[in-house]
This record gives sequence, C-alpha cells and structure tokens, in this order.
Amino acid sequence: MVTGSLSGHPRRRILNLIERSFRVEGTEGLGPLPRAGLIAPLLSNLQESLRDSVRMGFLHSSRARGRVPTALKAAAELRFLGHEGQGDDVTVLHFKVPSFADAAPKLFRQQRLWDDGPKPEETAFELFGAALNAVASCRADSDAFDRDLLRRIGSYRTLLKRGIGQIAMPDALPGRRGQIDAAVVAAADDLIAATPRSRRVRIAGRLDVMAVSQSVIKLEVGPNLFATARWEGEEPIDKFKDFINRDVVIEGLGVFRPSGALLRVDADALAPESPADSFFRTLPTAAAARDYHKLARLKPGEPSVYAQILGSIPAEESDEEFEAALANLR
Amino acid sequence: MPFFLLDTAILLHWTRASRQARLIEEQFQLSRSTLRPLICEVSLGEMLAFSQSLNWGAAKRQRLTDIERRVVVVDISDRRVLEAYAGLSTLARRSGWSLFRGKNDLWVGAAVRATSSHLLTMDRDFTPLRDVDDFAVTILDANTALPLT
Repeated sequence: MVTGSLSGHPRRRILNLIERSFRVEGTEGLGPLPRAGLIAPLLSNLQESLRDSVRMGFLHSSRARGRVPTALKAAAELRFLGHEGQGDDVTVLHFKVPSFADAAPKLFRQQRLWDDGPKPEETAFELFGAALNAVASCRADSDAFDRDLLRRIGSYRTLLKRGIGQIAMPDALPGRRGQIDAAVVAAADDLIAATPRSRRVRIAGRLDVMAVSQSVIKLEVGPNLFATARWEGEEPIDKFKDFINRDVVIEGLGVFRPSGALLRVDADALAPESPADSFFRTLPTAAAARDYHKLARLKPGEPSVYAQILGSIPAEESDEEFEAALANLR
Repeated sequence: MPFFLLDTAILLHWTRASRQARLIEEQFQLSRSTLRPLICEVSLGEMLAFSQSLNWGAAKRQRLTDIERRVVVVDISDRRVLEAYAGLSTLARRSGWSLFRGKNDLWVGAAVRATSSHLLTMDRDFTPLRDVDDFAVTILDANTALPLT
C-alpha cells in the first residue's frame, strides 16, 4: 500500500492518503493510451459515485440536501495519480484518497448511528464497493444505496455501451470490492423499479441520537426498532437538543427501500409527542412492488383460468353488434 | 408458454367464446396454460364501457367482475409501468407512431414492457413494437385471428 500526504492550503491539515485503483476492462479504447473521450466521463462518473457513496454511508442519503459536513467532502476527494495499461484492453486508474479516520475523525467520536456504517480504516472506495455488492446481490433491504445512488450506478450504462465491459476495484479492502458491469447496471434498474414512491410519514419515538454535524437523528420507536432521519427543517437541528432522550414525533418525507421497508425520513418537523401520537409509534412501510409473474402462476392442481373464463359471458348480442361495440372501444 | 397479456378485444372475444376465440385456442392452446392471463388496468375501464354500450344487465356485469378476480390486473400506478409509459410515449412521439395518440394503447404497451409479458392484441397500432427490443407482441387479424406477418 502506498501512502502520501496532501496539503493544498497552508492552514489545512495534512491528510495521509491511501492508494486505491479502478481496473477498467473493455473491447477498445483502453490500454496504455486510453481514449480521452472514454476516460474523461469515466473519471467524472467515478468521482461523483464516490461522493454519493460517502454521503450515503454517513448521512443515509446519497444526495442529502442542505449543508454537507466539510469532512465528508474531504473524505470523497480523489487525487489522480496516473494510469497504466495492461495489454490493449485494460487500463488501471490509480488514485489517492484519505481514510475516514483521517478525513472525518470527529464523526467517529460521535455515537455510531448504525451498526453497519463506515469504519475508520475505510475509504470512499469501500463504501462504493459495498453499494455495488448490495446491488449485484439485489439486496432489497440494504442500507448501502438509495434511489439516487441506484440511478448513478445505472448511468454507467452509457459507458458500457461505448466499449467498457467491466470496472473493478482490485485493491479495496476485502469484502468491500465491487464491480460495475452490465449485470450490475441491470440489477440497479430492477431495484429502482421495485422501490416504492416516497411519501409523507409521521413517526413517534424516543429521540435516541442526534448527530449535529451530520444533521442525522435516530428515533427508538420500540424495542430494537429504530428510525433514522436526516433533518431538513429550516431551524438548526441543535435547537432540539433538549429533546434528547424524550418522546418526540417527527414528520417528513419517508424514503423506502425496494423491499418496502423504511430507509430514512427527510424530516422537516420535530415536536414533543402528544398522547394522540401513540398511533404513530410504528415504522411506516410501503407496499413492495407486485411480482406479476408470481401472481400469474397457478397453484399445483388449480384449474386453468383460461378454460374457466372461455365463454363465461353469454353471447346474447349479434356478432355485428359485438364487433361494432369493439370497434368503438379505442 | 409465455406470460400473455391480453388486450381488451382479445379478452372480450375469449369470454364470448367467439369464432376468433376458438381460432386463438387452436393456435395457442391457452386453456392448457398453467398461468393466469395478465391484463392492463385500463382494460377494466374499457370492458365496463363495452358492457354499458351493449346495455348488459346485472348478471352479465357480475360475470365481468368475476373475470377481473381471476386474471392478474397490472396496475398503471405501478412505478415500473409509469416509467415504461414515459419511455414508450417518448419513443412513439419521436417516431410518429399512431400508438402515441391512443393513450390506452400506451398504457397497455407499458404494462407489457414492465411485466416482460407477451402481448396478444388485434390492434394494428402496436405493429412498430414488434421491432423494438424488450417487446414481445403478436398481432392477430381481427377476422381470421391469424398472426399478422
């Protein structure tokens, strides 16, 4: 592992950087002299993907509105080292990137917001890799992506059409190495299609955690039942610090996973819980997308529906009347 | 056997056991299928309109309701259908297809795309979809019920 340091500004803290790379394989335009028209959009897309993944990891929202902590911007800051070609069909792009412990140490001093969150030794690459792995496995209940990050992954379709076959992450930490290929892009499309529409929700529970710098709160709705919310209200979130450990109710846009389970709330209202709010002490769900093929399959031994409905409506009108009515349908 | 999505006219012929329905059965052996037919939600409205235009009585309308319970109705509010509608509408408008003007046709096409099913129809406006990737469409002649070539 190669490490280096970066100080872009005299007052800026020096970050230790770790080397990471993307291995790009394709049919044409790669190798030691890759086509600029292929590499330029790829670099841009990879940078944006890493930013989205970092926001997703720390904020539970890949396109969080409002102020994004400077530390998170630094954590997704890529420095391009250079590239090398392997044959005519592989280009390896080398970067340096800070670890989260280095870029965002304050975030790790706060109480952890969720168990499977970013780890200090990881980088933006590991979060992106985890998201790609979750998509490849079609994990409909994953915390690693939301609809916007799925769209970002789907946007690689354009690059795949231009001749790139696979983008791998050979030196990310084991278990967090993802890859982009046609199957992953197709899986992202399927997950987008299955994700229920966001809707306004109201949830009551004990305010368990407030991470001020991330504008993230965690509500204990019931025993071992938590809702995560990103604060998007007009007032600063620390205005509500006296509510910690008290029963509150939040309102906002509920964002769901493809499974229909709640991913997060983009909250814009927070108030003490009233007796009438006990109804809302539950995690809202959205109806998961219907599996039409499953619904269409008859149970073993069930009689044919086609046979049952064939001729089930008596033909009392003449053929001419029937045809005329059909002709007027559309 | 593919997952067939029946257009409204095909379903109405089928429930009437018309001459065309018998010809369809000869070709596709649908009554042996272990799958339920799929229909697009807009077909429910069209079948109701059809029943009113022929002044069907309560008993026949009840049979129509029974059929709705046996088939799989593809909801047009389903996000996958909405997205397929947007894509198909844009394609049809840009290509100048008559399909663009028949909004119910677009919903039916979107339901087919979203469910990866095979459309059985007698509507020739669907002809261009036979050349589009990801669409499986069989258009039957309204009189002979034979597939159009």
